[in-house]
Amino acid sequence: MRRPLFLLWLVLIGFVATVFCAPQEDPTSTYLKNKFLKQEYVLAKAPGFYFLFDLRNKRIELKSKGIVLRTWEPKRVRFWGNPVPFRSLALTRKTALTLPQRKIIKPGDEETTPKLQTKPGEFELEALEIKDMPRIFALELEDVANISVVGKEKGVKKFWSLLKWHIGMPLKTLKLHHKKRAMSFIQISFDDQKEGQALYWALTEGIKGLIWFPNGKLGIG
Amino acid sequence: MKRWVLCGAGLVCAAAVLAVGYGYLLGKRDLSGWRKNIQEAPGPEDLAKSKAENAALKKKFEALGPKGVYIVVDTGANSFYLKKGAEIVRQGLVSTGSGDILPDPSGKRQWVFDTPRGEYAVKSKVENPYWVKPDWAFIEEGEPIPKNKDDRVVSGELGDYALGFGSGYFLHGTLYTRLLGRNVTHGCVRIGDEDLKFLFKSSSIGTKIFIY
Repeated sequence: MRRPLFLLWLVLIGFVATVFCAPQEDPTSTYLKNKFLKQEYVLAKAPGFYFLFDLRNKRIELKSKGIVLRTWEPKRVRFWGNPVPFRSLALTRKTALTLPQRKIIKPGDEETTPKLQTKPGEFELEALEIKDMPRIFALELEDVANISVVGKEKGVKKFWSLLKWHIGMPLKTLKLHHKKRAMSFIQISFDDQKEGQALYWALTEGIKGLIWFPNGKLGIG
Repeated sequence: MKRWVLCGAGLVCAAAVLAVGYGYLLGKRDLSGWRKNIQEAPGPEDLAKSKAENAALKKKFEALGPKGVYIVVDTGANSFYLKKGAEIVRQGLVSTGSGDILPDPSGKRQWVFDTPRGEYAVKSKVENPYWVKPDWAFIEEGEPIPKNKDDRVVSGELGDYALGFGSGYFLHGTLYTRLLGRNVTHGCVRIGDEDLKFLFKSSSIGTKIFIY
C-alpha cells in the first residue's frame, strides 16, 4: 500500500518540478535576438565576409552567408564608454605600432625569392606570414568604437595595463565629453597571442560587423 | 621657493585625481547606458512577432548558405577545410600567397602576390593541367619574356588536378610539398596530392570557395 503512494508522490513532485523549473523564455532575449538576426541578415545577404562580436560570451566570429568560417575566443574582454550602437559597423582602420611590411622582390635576385630546397621551420621565408602580424593593435570602427587587442600580460606588464585602463579610460571619457563625442572602448586579450595575430590577419579594412551584448549584467570589466 | 614648488605639485596631483575621478563617474554613467540599451522591454505583441520573425529568419539563413560541400581556405594558417554544413569532411595544409611585391623593371606595373580573399566558386576543373607562365614568372627569375606562347607552357608544375576560381587563380597541386603550411605562392592555392584528389572528386562546378 505504501509503495504505490510513494510512487504517486514521486510522479507528483516530478510534474511540479517540470512545470516550475522548465526553462522560461526570456522575452527581452527573444526580442533582442530578433533585432540582432535582422541586422545580421542584412550583412549575410551582402557579398563578402562580416564579423560578429558577442561581448557577453567573449566570442568573435568571421562569417559569410551566415556560415561561421573562423572563431576567436578572447580570454578577457573589458569595455568602457558609451554603448556600442546596435547597427553594423565598418572596420575603418587597423592601427599598430609596427605595421607588417611587404617584401619587395628584386627580379632575378636569389636572396629575395623563396628558398624552396630546405625544410619548413629551418629557414625564414621572404613572405608576409601570420607571425609578422602585430600582437598589440587596435581596430577602429567608424569613429564610434575602438577594439584594442593587447598581448598576454603578466606581472609588471599586467599592473601597467590595469593602470592604463583605469586611469586612461576616465581621462579619455573626460576628453570625449568635453568634445561632446560618444565612443565605446573594448579591450581584449588572448591566451595564445597567435590568435590575436590571426584576428589582425583575417579582419581586413572595410569589413562590416556587429558588436552586441546578449541580455546580461554589465560591469566595468 | 621649495614650498611653492611643493604646493604646485600638490595642486597638479589633486587636479589629476579630480579629473580621473570625474572621468570615472562620467564613465560609470555611460556604462549604465549599456544596460538601458539592452533592457528595452517588449510588449506581448512584440514578443509574438519576434518569435515568428526569428523562425522565418532562421529559414532565410539556411537558404543563404551553400548547398552541399564547400571549401574554406585560411590563408593565415595555410589550411583548407572541405565542409558540409558545419561538419568538416576533410582538412589539410595548403600554401597560399607570399604577399611579396614584384615590380616590373620597366616601372610600368607591379604584382602583389596575395591569394585573393572573398567568396568564390569553382569555375573550371582540369585534369593534368599545364601552366602558362605569366610575365611575372620570367621577370622574377630575371629572364626575358618570350614572344612565343609555346615557350611559356610548363607541364607537371601544377600537379594532377586544378580547380579554377577565376582571374587566373587555381587550387592546384605542388612539387614543393615541404612548403605546405607556408605562404610561398604567387596567389594560387597549392594543395598536397591526396587532398587535391579528394577535393577534385568531391567538388563540382559551382562549389563555393571561401578564402580569408
